[in-house]
Amino acid sequence: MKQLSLHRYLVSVVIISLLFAGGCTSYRPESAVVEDETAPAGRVLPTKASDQMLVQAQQALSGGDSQSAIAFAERGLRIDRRNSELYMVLAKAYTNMDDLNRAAQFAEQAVRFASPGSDVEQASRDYLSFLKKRR
Amino acid sequence: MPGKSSRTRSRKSKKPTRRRHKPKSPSWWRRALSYWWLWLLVPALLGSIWAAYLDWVVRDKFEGKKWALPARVYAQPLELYAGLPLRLSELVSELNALGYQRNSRVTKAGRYWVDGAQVQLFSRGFSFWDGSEQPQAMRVSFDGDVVSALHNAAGQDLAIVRIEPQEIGGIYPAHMEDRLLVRLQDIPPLLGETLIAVEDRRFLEHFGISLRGIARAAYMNMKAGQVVQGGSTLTQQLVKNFYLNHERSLVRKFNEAIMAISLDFHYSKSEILETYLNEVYLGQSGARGIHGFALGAQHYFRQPLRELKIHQIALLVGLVKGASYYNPWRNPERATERRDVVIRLMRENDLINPLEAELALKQPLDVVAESASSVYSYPAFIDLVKRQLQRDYDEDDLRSEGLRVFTTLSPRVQSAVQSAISQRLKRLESDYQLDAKSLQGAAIVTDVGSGEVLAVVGDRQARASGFNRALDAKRPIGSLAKPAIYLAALNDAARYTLITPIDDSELSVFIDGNNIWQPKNFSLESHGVIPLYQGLAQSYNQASARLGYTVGVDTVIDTLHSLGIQVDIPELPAILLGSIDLSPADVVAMYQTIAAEGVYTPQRAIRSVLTAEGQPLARYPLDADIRFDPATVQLLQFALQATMREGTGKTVYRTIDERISIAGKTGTTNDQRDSWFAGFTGDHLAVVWVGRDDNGATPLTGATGAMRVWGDIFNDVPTRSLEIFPDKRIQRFWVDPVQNGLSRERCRSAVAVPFIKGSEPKVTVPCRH
Repeated sequence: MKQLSLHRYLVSVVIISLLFAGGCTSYRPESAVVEDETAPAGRVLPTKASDQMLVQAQQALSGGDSQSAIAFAERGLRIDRRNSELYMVLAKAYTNMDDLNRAAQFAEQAVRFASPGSDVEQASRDYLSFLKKRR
Repeated sequence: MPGKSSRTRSRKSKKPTRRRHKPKSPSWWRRALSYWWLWLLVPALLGSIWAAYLDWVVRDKFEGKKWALPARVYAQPLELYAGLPLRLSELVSELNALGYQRNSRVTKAGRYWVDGAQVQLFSRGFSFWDGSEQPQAMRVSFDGDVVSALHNAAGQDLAIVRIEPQEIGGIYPAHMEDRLLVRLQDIPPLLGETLIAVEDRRFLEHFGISLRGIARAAYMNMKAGQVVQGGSTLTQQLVKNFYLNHERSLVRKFNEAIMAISLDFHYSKSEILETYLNEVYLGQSGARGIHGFALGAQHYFRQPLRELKIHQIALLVGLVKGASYYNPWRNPERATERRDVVIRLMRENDLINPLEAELALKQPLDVVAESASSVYSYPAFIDLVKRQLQRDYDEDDLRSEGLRVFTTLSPRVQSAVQSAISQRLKRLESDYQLDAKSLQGAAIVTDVGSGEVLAVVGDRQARASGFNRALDAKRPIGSLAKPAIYLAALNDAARYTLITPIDDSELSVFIDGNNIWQPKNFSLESHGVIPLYQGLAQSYNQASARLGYTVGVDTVIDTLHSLGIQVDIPELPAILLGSIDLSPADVVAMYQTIAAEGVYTPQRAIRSVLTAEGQPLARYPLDADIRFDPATVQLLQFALQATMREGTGKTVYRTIDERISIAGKTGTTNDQRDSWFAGFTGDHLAVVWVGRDDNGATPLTGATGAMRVWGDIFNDVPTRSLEIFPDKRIQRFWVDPVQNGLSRERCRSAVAVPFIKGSEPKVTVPCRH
């Protein structure tokens, strides 16, 4: 009986220790800042379609066809309205067409929707500064 | 000159001599006979001049612009891609509307088949303003309300595919003739062969008129004692329809024959046949005349010519004899008899084999429902398109140049909106025991990002084309104006946050020294000091009016204008609570800017206009004018979401899936004359108005009238949740809005509220339980 009790005692100690350890590792001081939520898992995102439009828009832009670049970029934005790179295509296409006001509007949108600290954000900012100087 | 005067003199000198030697006058008929050759010459000369004139007429019209072509208006194409919010049933409806045939062998363009949660389809391809889409076979897989995958026939992933757009209307010439031009090489050979076999067997041999045909017709008519058969060739029929009228006279017949010979002399049989195929009258759709086989195929079968089957071709050819008499909707038996005669003639002329003939004879008429025509289905939207076009184009060009206008209309959204308004108003009248048809409604739905107009409904009755309430019914907007007050306040970030305490006690404002404005809450109760966002969420008039007055009526008016309201607004305190007459379209402009996080995007109903030859004429590009700090508008969006979660709009979640986040605002005017709701999700903005045309009182508030319609629309149209884009300058904090201090997640009174960084409360308050 004594052995059994000791055994039970040891198991209890281990379990409590583990629970305590687990509790310590998950403990964080409560903050008033709200944690960012992640997008629900399993949702199909239309990235393939908007990526395709981005590729075609960039190709048209490289080929000097600003009108087609705009058409592809607008199609892409109808799928993903916060796509920073598509806004950049619009900004560059309108720059090619000497519509600098509109170009600057789209460059601002590109800056706004770019991920913070990303290359796209930096490139968009640089382009916006360039446009502001040209205007 | 001397020569001339000498000739003149000699003529003068001869006259008296002739008179002197004048022989005895013969009788007048002898004299006439002596000039017998003149009797032949003059008519021959006149006849030649007349024939030459007719020949000129024939060539002038045939070589010039043959027809005044209406502008054709198209809906937006359905673009398929993985991740698109779309139900399988919606895709099937779209394909049916485009005349796709449900057939398990999806081996030809224009067919589809449903297999569980997948749709196999073979698209037709289409020439768009920005390039062509080739026909291709594909498989579309669905997962609930979303397209989960898109593959081609080889099982490879497809990024995106555009289905051809529905034609939704036209701007027609004054004579209302409509036709779709088609070239001879695009016409199924069986159609041309059958037409010749039925209407003019010797078409390839005669010279425009057929003497044998005329003789045979004359004999048959004499035998019958009445006109039972015509001797007209296809060329003569074309002349009659194309150049002349349908008058029965010898002169007209004579002209017809000369012109037919002239036509045959100058032009090839192919050119004549092609013109005939495009000219011939094949039916009527309201005031619009259906001309040509290509439009006939669309009108009766909603299919392109190349997809027609034998029995369908036979019906169309049969209709040439009398489109009204053999109208397949009004006289189906007569139409079937006539079609079968044509099928037998096809067989007799070896155009089809016996088995094909047998099968064709067993087919039903196969025409679509007469009411299925989409050309008159969207009068309110077409009205908007016309207004935009008339600003940019000459009326004559719109009616005659065959322009192709690509619009932004989404037929599936439009259909959902029309049905929601029609059915909900009927139900409201029944629930509130109102007179039948006493309520009216209007709505506009736009795409949040692009500002494209997806649907416009201007009347509770589908296809009613009278007063367009969505564009022209200007009514007070009530509480729909309030977001401008809160936006104006939040713009002053140093002074206002979403939880700044505001006072909802009664207030009195002196106007012009004598008049006092004393707004009351809808419940006639005051709520003391409340957090700012609750003033909007609960639509408290007293708190909102006081806030607006503190911020400044002129500042609120400026905010309304910057949001997109273009009408003049008087600088009166009553405008704070919506004493501004606006149409649903005006309200859309305002809420579009809020939904797009401060970016003003003009409403667009047209994407592009092409010439008849497919050359781009005009584009209507995306515009994005940043009018407000996005971070501030995001705070406003939070308050509008709170309106829907816990405020005046919360009952919408009785209809809508509660996982979908919505931002919106209800609006009710004095005596509940107008019931408004403006709300947006991640994809769609919709503004709905419900009221009476006589401006009478109703028992409806914004929540019990217009918002119910809104709920019905988005219960039907899949839409994505509004996810507020995390602006870099926004941070959310757990706060106690009543104590106006920081809190913790575990406190029951804590609410997660966004703040522009640095404007959050600095004091942490204890938990309230």
